[in-house]
Order: sequence, then C-alpha cells, then structure tokens
Amino acid sequence: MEKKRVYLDDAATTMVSGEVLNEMMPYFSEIYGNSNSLHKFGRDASRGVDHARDIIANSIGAKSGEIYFTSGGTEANNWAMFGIATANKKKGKHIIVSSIEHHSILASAKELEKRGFEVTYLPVDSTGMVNLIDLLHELRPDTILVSIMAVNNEVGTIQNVRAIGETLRQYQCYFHVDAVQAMGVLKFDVDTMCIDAMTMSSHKIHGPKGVGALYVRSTTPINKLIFGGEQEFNKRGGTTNVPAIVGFGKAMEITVRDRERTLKKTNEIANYFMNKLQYAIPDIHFNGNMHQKAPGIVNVSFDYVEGESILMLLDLAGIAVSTGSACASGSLTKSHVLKAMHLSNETINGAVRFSFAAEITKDDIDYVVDNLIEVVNKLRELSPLTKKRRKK
Amino acid sequence: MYNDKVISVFQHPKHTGEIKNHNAVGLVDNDSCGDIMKVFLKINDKDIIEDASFKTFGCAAAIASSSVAMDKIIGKSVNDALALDSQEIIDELGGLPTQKIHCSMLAKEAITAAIDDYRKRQKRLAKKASKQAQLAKNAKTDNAEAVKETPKIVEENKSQLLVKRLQKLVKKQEKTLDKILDINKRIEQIKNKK
Repeated sequence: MEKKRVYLDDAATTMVSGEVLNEMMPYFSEIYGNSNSLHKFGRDASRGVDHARDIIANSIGAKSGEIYFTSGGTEANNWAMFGIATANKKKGKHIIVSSIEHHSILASAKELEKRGFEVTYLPVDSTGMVNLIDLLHELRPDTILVSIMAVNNEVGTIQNVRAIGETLRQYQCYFHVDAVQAMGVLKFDVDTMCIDAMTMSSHKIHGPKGVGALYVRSTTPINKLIFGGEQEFNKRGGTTNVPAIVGFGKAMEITVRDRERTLKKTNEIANYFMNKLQYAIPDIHFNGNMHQKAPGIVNVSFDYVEGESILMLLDLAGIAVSTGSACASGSLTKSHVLKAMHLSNETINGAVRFSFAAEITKDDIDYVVDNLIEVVNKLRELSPLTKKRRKK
Repeated sequence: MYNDKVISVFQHPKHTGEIKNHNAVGLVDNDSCGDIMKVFLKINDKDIIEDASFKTFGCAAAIASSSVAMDKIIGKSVNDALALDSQEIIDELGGLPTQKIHCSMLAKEAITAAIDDYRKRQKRLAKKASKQAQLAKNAKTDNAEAVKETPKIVEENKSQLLVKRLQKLVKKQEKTLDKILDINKRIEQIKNKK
C-alpha cells in the first residue's frame, strides 16, 4: 500500500495547479520569443505578459501600467523598501514597519538603517495585531514610508489594512502592503484601501515559483532596484520571465474567481481540525488572532515538546508541516513573529504551523490528528518538562 | 538534513524515562536554542555507572544524541564517562548537520552535571558519616568521664546530707536545752517565792 501523504505547508509554497501548468506550457516551447523583441515571436510572448498584467491589475483595482513583474515577493519587498525610501529621502528619513514583517522587509529595513534612515519597528499584541493608535504615535512629519503586511505568514493574523490606509492618507508618507500571503484571503482594492505599493507572489497561490509583482501607484515616486534593459516600463531590467508570468496571471485569475468558495471550504476544514485537536490533545495553545485570521493557517503550540521533533516524526508519517522553533532554523533563532507576540520561549519552541488549501479533506485531517496524538504523547513522555497529566 | 541513522535513533531512542534507584541527576539547558536535558545515573560503590536514562526537550538531533550518549556510558566508570567526547556521539550517529553539533554537547554537559551531582552527594554523605562518628566518639568520652566521677559525687552528696542532718539535730537539741533552761528558771522563781 502506498504511504499516505498530506501536505500542510501551503504557507511555504503551493502546488502549481493543472490549469496554470497548461496555460504555461506553450510559452516554453512554442511562444518562446523575448517579449521585448519586435518580431512576431516577441509580440506573441508580449501578449501573454500583457494579459497576465491586466488580470493582476484588475484583481486589485489597479491600472495595468502600475504592475511591475519581479523575480518574486522578496525582490518586490526589497524594491518597495529601497525604491520608495531612496526616492523620497529629501522629504524625510523615517520609515515604519511592523515587527512581524517577512524577513525580506525586516532585512531591508536593517540595511536602510545602516544607510542613514531611521526605522521604527511597530509592536504587535499577543495575537499579532498592529494597533492603529501605536502607529499614530510613531508617525512623524518626516515619515516617508509605512510597510505593514496584510496577512502574517506564520500565524495568519489579518491586519486592518483599510483602516491603516485611510489613516495614513492624511499624512505625506507612502503605504506599502506585503500581500504575499493575502491574495487568496482578502479582496483588495488599492484605491479604497489607500495602498500606494503592494507586493504579490505567484507560488503562494498555486502559480509557479520565481515570479511576483509589485504594484506601484502612478503617483508614488520609486527608484530602480535592478538596472538593465528597458523592461517593465523601464523600471526593472532583466529578460521577462514569460512562462512564469503567464502562469502567475492564470493563478491570480483562478484565485480571484474561486476566492469565496475556497475560503468557505478552507474555513470549514480549519474549524474541523481545530475542534478535533482541542479535544484530542491537552495542553495546547492556538497562536494568532482567532477572530481575524487566514483560515488556511493554523499555528499551534504543544506544551512540553519541541516543534522540530514533531515536524520530523510527522514527516516520517508522510505529513508536511513547519515550525517556529529555533532548532529548525539554520541560525538557531526563534520565530521573530512569535517573539514579537510576547509568547514564552517554550511556547515558541513548541509551535507548529499547519497551512493548507481547500483540497485537504476531513480524511486527511483525521490522519493528521491521529498521528499528532501519537507523536505528541511519545515526545511528552520523553520530555523533562511534562507535568503529571490530569486524569481524564 | 539528517542522515538515516540519526532519524532511526530519534524514532526509537533507548534508555528514556527515569530509572529506579538512581543516585545522581543532571539537568542542563542550552541557552542558544532552549533545549533541556535531564540525565539519571545509578552508580555503584565502585564508581561504575550501572544504569543510565534521560529525558530531553529538544530537536531530533538532541534526542538521538541523548540516546547514543546513554549507550556509551552504561558500564563505564565515572571517570571514563566524564572523558566522553561529544565527537564520539557525532561519529556514532554518522555525523550531524553543522548547526546541530551543539546538540551533542548537551548530552555531555548533562552527564557531567549528573556526575557532579553524584560527587556532591557522596561528599555530603561522607560529611554526614564523619559528623556522626565524631558525635558518637564525643558521647563515649563524656560517658566514661561521668562514670569515673560518679562515686566522688555520690560521696560528696552523702557527706553534705550528713552535715545537714547533724546541723538539724544540733538545732533541735539547742531548742530542747533552751526549754529545759527555761523550766529551771521558772522552778527557781517558784522556790524563791516560797
């Protein structure tokens, strides 16, 4: 019998859907021209790219000329940070980011600090929410950029993007949103949400890896990050990754088309999972904001045991998850997100992230919970921290 | 990341839990990653580790290292166990990823802590024993002295009692004498009147 496999790491990356793959295939072998060439080969490729750009622009209420394709979310985040900061440094040198941003924002912020900018790292509450009052306190006349992620990749907490955007409209600073994890969760409209720049990524929404996009409002000044040819309206050099962009466009089209249905299904599965888990295993905590959370991300801390050990034992049962524990990261640093939420060291080290798409079935969840019971019990028996268990 | 050997030891670790009649416990934690390991040892009077077990809160590498370390020290003398090199643990596991090397050190540290605990307990026991011996010795000499002194004290007490009794007798006699004298005086007075 083939071993069962359950993939619960969609927040890391997703499978390329069949529809997307079919859309991409011709662009590898038939329509292989350089989209910047003037001949028919090039013009055909260019049409595919333009179509994808239209889809993405439409899906967030932007104009096509405001969408720039990049090599992924990290490049788009880097570009937004460096591009907007350096283009506006005459107006001020102050930048605000939340303390639970993705590394590509935080590392960029650190580098900008080295280059003479001042960065404020906004705290979050124990559920991972940014407080609007805190943001207002930190805003200064020389603040030029605020970057807040829409949906956190580790705990799934959804920020009040619109409220933040509307508040910032009265200030001179630009508002960047990292929406990499949010495309399947929120309906975006950059105008009503007052967003000046927004990062998107393809591989989190069943598109191919290696492609993303940055939306930049036409009135937002931004400097180049990648110098080269005149691709992407002369804003981002480098031969256009046509098949990936076409795939990204298709993936976005499907995401927007199916969003309501997918969300409903994912929500059902998530509730089933959390209910089952709560009754099956004592001494666990759900991390993140339970009232405002991406349903496909469930972050759980198991007391007395270490996340990496759970990950490894589940992996042996064919189940893929990820963890915030220090042991699992090469640098031995704990999850900065859970740390910013002021969780205890043991809670952080015992945190496991389950992230999934609507395709996961209740059967899959049953299999996962059964294995979890076994794995957690085994590790708790091994742990010197385990307290004497309550009698059932 | 991990090789098959590490995975299989991690999946089926040996010497887990808390052994009965252990006489040494070592508890250490790792500041950098938060791993915690507790080691239980049963050491006999010839300083040989008869049995050992562990409880570990940590990653796969930490648990596998713990299991191998227990294997390595059971049956060894305390000094040999102290000399255990964490490289031996790594070799036994067929290598660990670079960032996990520190997990193997945790086992060595926990064993060292347990042996420290054993030595402290031994010292405490020895101290207690010598203290009791000293007390017993002191009691003995005190007793002997007391026994020697007893007759003297008894004698002294006896004579003191006699003196007291004599003094009482003398007082009584004096009183009687006074009475006799008094009566004589009265008889004289009566004679004189006649």
